[in-house]
Amino acid sequence: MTLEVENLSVSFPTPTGEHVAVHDLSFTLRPGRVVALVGESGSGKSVTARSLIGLAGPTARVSAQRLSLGGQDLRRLSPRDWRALRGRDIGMVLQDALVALDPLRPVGREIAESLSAHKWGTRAGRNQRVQDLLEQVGIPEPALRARQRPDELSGGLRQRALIASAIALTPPLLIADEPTTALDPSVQAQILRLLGRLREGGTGLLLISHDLGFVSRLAEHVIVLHHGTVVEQGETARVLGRPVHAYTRTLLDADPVRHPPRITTHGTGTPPLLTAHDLSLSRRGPDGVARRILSDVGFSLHPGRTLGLIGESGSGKTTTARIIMGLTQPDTGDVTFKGERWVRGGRQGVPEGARRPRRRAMAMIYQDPLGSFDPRWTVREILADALSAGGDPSGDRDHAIATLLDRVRLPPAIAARRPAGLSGGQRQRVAIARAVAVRPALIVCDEPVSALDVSVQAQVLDLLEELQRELGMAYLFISHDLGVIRRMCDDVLVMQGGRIVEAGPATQILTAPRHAFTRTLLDAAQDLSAA
Amino acid sequence: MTHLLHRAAWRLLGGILVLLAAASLTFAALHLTPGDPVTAILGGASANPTPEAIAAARHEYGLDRPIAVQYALYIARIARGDLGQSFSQHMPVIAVLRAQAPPTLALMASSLAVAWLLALLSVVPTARRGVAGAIASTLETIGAGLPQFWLGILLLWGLAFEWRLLPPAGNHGLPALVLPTLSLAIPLAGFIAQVMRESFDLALDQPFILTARARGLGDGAVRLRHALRHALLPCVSLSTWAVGALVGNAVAIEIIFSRQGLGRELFLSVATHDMPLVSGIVLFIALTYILAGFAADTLYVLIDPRLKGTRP
Repeated sequence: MTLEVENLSVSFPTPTGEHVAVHDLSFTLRPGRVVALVGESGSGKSVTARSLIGLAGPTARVSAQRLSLGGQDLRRLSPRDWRALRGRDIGMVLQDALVALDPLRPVGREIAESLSAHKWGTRAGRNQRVQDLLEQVGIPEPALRARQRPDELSGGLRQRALIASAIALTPPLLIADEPTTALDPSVQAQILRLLGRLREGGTGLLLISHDLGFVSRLAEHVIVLHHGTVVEQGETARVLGRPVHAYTRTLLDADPVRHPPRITTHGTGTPPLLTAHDLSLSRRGPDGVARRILSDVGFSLHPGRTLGLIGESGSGKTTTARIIMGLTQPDTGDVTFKGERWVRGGRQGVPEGARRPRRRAMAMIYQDPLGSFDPRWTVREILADALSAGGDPSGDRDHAIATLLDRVRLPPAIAARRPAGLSGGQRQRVAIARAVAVRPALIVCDEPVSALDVSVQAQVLDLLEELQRELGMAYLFISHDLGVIRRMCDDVLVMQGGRIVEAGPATQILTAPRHAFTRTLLDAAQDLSAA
Repeated sequence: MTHLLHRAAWRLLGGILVLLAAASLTFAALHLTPGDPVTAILGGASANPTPEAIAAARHEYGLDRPIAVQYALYIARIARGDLGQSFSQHMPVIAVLRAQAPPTLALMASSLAVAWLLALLSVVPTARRGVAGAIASTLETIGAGLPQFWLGILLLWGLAFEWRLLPPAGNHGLPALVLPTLSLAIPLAGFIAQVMRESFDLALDQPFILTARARGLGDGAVRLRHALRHALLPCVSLSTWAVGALVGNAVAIEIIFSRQGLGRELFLSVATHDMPLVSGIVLFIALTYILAGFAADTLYVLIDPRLKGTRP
């Protein structure tokens, strides 16, 4: 069954006129083949995917010269025909199974619903089929897993369960919209292999991604979308190897892997800015049993240097960052900051009052800064608040704010706007400006670019580097992206299950790792990067 | 398992503390009312009790003892389940409650059920459906703004007196329950529907709804099997509040429709300064409210199993 798309256009009416989301897109998807749609947010990838199954929304205007599946014209389908087609002829996998599967229901019922929606089999037959499907996507103990909810499964298992629900009726075509975004690299590699197996089994795959490395591992044909228009398309090796269009080159160059590795400029001769010693923390789970979250974590960080923290989700990276920030009290261990005791484990913690004078020497940048801004405040108010917290003596607040905005390469007009009205990149720049406003000696960056498009990501990383050069801050840098770590960090800590399993200079860890777990991480990243 | 017992024990302790607070407040009210508590107990200044009756009552209620001892005796009596005598009814408070609580509980239950039914009918078929949604949403806002006593009088006049479709007063049978129920349920339905509509709309925007549609599920099934469940939690919280509010609103409604019940009884006992009966009714309402809280907690976990273990 072949999907033929010729000059597909999708537009939405807006108060200011027609917004064209996709313009004249053409491609052909055959069984056993993989076509990739690549582009950044707002490029029209997801709208295309939804249009192909008739779910672009009630206000969408979809037109095409040809839109057919196995000879059937999709342009004239009734709502009932679309329903019959969805799931049976074309399956769909979205990103992040935690929200793409109903979080209140066991995954087995979600998968069974794919069958019952098309009146497939009897109840007993469907239950058997659910178990077979879970086994097929590589989930051990399928009978147990079918009864668990997405939040009770690991990231890898629930993404597999989501794929199982999409392929329940073995549709000849599958649309995967960012199927691995927000997953750990090792899980991404597993999903990549699973999709590869489906392709070998004869499934045609429309792969939607912003990740060129991931795409290059699966797709034969790549379409690069920019603002709804195809800027380049063709055979994967040709498009990614010898890009013709400037935008494709921008996308490729933005990949941190292509950036030269970090050049260390600040040595460790000076006294350390921050020293953490033997940090441990246990927490009681929902069942009342205490679990070790962090065991004997220790490191030191010198002025002007960047220390990377890598490991899978749940390995204790963010907990470590919170202890360093003095937001979580550890059971044991201590942290020295600027030569004085900053955190002490156990009952005799350092009181917040004693920390306050040095609090402003530390700042934090989050993955999604939106939640850390008061939505009613304008950028001016956010920065003014940070400046006064930092004890800014200058009387001219407006000048100080303009200087800050200039420092993070934002136009002064941004000051009057609210965070919700800004793009992801602009928002992260405001967050950086806020962090820098207190003139800190240390900034803790928790996945600061993970939610950004690659080209924006590259610009934000450039900015962080420049600011470090100009202001001499140290960074504690958490990221799951080894390319980003390689580009930004002097030293690296590898965490697994709350412990540091390996520590050392970034060049050594990323090229000649000693610990088996670090090698697994590197292999997974290798599997995903562009060949 | 021990963890579950632990939580149940904490909830029970919390419930007892609320009851204790309610009992203490009525005790304080009894002693802060202007005039001699004994006069209040014996029916206010107008009752003109004999000095012997005053002395007897003073001794019976232990009012000749220090206030701390009185408080301890009062709490001990309530703990034994002895709510005292209602002087205006000339019978034990427990007996008054036994007679008056069922009609009020029936009215509350039917109002809550009808309010939920109306809210579901208004929201589920119309959410995110253009004109229908806008009309239903406007009706919900109007409904939420209607004063219940006014609605009660309007229904009484229209359906009972003008068209004679339903009995205007009394406690007998289901027809007598219809008008009071509607008076309480329609405004409450407006409130519940507003909350439900907001969370229903939010749920319809979630990715799992798109996944469900991409499976080939029809719109009705998407709404009933997926979106609705996500919209229920805030409505359950609101219903716990509503149980408390219904008792208060039942005062006016029971009087308008001349129904027996706790609301009317509370009004009368306050008017006659029958403090044992007032405190008995207040304690009963507090107990109902606590039980509603228990029920809501159980419902939360049934609706969203992820909450298991997170709620104290």
